[in-house]
Amino acid sequence: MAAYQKGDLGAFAELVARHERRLWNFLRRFVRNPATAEDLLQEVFLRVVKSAPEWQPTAKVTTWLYTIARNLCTDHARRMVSRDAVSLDGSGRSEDSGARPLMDRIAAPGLGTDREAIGKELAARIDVAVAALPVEQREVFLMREVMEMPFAEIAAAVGASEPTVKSRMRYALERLRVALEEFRDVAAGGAAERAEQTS
Amino acid sequence: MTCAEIKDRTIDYLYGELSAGERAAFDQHLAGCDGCRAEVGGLQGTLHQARAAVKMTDEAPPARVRVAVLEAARAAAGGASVPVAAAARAVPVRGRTEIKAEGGGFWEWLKRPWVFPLVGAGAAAVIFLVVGRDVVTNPAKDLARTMAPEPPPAAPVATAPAAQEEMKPEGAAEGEAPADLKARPAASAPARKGIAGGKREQPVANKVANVGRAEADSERGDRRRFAPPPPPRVAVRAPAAHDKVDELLDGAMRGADRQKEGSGAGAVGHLGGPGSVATRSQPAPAEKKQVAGVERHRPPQELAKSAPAPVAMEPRPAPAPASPPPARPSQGRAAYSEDEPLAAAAPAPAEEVALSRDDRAPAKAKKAGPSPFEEQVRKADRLFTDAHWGAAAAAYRELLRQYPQNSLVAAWKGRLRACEQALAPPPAAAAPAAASSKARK
Repeated sequence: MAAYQKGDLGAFAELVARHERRLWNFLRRFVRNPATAEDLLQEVFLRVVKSAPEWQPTAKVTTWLYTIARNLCTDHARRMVSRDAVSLDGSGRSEDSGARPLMDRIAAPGLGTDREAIGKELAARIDVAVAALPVEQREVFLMREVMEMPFAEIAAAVGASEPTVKSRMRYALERLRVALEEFRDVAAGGAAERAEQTS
Repeated sequence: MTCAEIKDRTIDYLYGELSAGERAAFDQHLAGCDGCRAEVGGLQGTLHQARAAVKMTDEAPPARVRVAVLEAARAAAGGASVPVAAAARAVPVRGRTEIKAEGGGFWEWLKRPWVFPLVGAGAAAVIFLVVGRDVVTNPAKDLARTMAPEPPPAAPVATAPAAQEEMKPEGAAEGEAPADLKARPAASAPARKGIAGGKREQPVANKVANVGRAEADSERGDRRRFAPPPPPRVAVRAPAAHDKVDELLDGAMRGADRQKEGSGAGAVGHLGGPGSVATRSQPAPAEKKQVAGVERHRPPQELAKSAPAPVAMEPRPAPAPASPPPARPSQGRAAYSEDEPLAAAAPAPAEEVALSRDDRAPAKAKKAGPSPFEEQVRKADRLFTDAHWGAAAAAYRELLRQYPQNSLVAAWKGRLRACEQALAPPPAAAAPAAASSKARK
């Protein structure tokens, strides 16, 4: 960042190359809308460009960068909440719902026997379950698991104490566990039905 | 440790943040408490599954984001202004592959608000091409026979613009059009966006007359050529080098918005067939010549490049140009020197389509085609935007070797650097990940 501040565009390119992937995966999981995530990713780096002259080498670049991303996400989530409240009947217009009705998200449309397919389905379910987490828990989970930030940095980024952040992480894991258990129940039921049909 | 303490420290335990003594005490409690063991075991399994899922669904961001932000950074640094052709031309990739990869799928893609209008526009363009061909070409043929004398039989079919100038009859001056053409509805007239320095917009009837003459020229050479409509100019405008960072950032953001618009256009263009909808960031060579030059007769090659846009995409007869503003005609080519081909980094998809379609006039196509230098630059840009980093790097290296004095050298170097970084991500990038995973253990 210091090199970019001195006008080294290569340093900025390196900064982008180093962080864009994690930021992208954080953003798209957070907002659950690729187009919005793309806008936000651009916005993160444009803010870096804009703030470069004033940047002070006191803060860790990673923390600073991810804090920008997190703030953009929470701003976006706030706007979404005020503009389009989440509907249980699943209008599909809320970006946080992944543009899928609630029933679609709960009921498995079809459970493949292929192990890989089940793995993908499970991954997709976890993605959906992560997206359904409350914002405070979601951001902590994604910052830890996607951006691989230590809890101390997460605490600094979200403006909470470290125990609070860990507590949110625990709640997030508990919610995910419940979601996965529901999925397993559905999957086990589907497998039993198929077994009965084949026999 | 008590059960409450176990609950409080579970996250520390799962992420390996307990001291050795604490961990031993934790394990000791778990060994004797079924409830805590089940609780911690469940959370641990969930964490492992979630982590695996995160890794499984990890994906790279769209390449156009990097292009756009690097472009913005370059502009903010006051470096050479390079057209964002790369960003604009990378957009159709989203339409082809990325939307599905991003989890939207075809039906999600179909729900996007711009899809139906643009599909309609594409359909209108196709209808225009198929049905309107005779409607447009035949009157022009008649017009040419009435207005212009027959050319000498030995006249070459494909002539250079200068030769076409010589062939232009005196009677066919600008602005002359027969009453039947003038009476033609403006909606069916080719709404070419004139950005000439001295004469910005021609009356619609004049444009019809121009097209009519162009068709007549082709007809005289026993060549019937119908150029597909050029792409609408919905692409990113090349940012100019300014001093004010804020202005540039605003421009970059507008560019990003246009890129989004272009995304839709590109996607539909892909579905709707070549030439129906496409994007580009710079005026085609013909337009550039017009920017610098005086209003003059334009040979069919030029007309083919600036041929009419689809009617549905241009609802108004004389829309304002979306690309470089006419007030600053030199802005769009600030990065080019006078002795270089103007189309060096400005792709002209309409031209490409026109040339590829006109298989009956290979000589003509050859003359109207880009120079080897242009081809080389286009190829490098295409490779870059298609994220073929290795090939793009080689192409830019070759350009730098062959044209070390070119004014685009700075841009090529920047892209070469981006390619090299994409090919070999810096080892520091992996360091935090390794450190983090180590910390977890």
